[in-house]
Amino acid sequence: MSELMDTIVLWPSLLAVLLIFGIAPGTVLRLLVLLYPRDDARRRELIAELYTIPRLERPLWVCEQLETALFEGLSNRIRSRRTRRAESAENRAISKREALKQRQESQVTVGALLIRHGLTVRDGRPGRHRPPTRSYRLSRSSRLGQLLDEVVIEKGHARGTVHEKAS
Amino acid sequence: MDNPAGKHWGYELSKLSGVRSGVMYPLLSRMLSAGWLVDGWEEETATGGKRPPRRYYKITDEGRLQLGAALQAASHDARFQGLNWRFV
Repeated sequence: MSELMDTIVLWPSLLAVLLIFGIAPGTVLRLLVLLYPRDDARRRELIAELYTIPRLERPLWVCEQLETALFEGLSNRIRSRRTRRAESAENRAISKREALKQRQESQVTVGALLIRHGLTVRDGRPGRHRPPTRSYRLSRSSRLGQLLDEVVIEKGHARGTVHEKAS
Repeated sequence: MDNPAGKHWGYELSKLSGVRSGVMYPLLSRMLSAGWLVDGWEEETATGGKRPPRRYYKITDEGRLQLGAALQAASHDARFQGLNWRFV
């Protein structure tokens, strides 16, 4: 009977010891370092330090790291997230400004645009050569409509020169 | 400390100084950003492939001046009497 009791007491204790001094410190530490930002060197540093610490000290040391990760890691993460958001907003504003500037500065020749759309210029106005079929005619006319929405033909200007509408 | 100008690890520094690691790591971060320390990573060959390379810290000339002055001031302060001054 006493042998049986010993066995029951021994196995859970052994498992607990294995868990606390074996698997748990590494697992818990790896979860804790996730609180740090992804590019933070402290993540790698703490995991590397764990393996130089004597096994008996590891559980306590990992508990201490909870404090560090909560106060240092979380604040770093929040700070880096704020910085990233501010940077991306700034980049968006810059690219918007540049796109607008390019749109305002760009000059597109009617010839180039019409050739791209498969159309020709006749008397300063975009036109087309006899379409072979009705469906071809319809598709071309809708494309021409789109094109005319996009560009403003300057009257009296050299034939074939348009400016994009500054929206 | 045998070689204050050499490479030291966070855990080792915490053991030598008697400062808890929860306090030591944020301190090291602040000293790094102040330029008092420089950091780097242990060579892979030094670990023998048995564990990941550790991050080391080395004191800079600026750090030696600043920390020397700070320690000098703190050595007379009653609040820091519990620290292990052999570390210095």
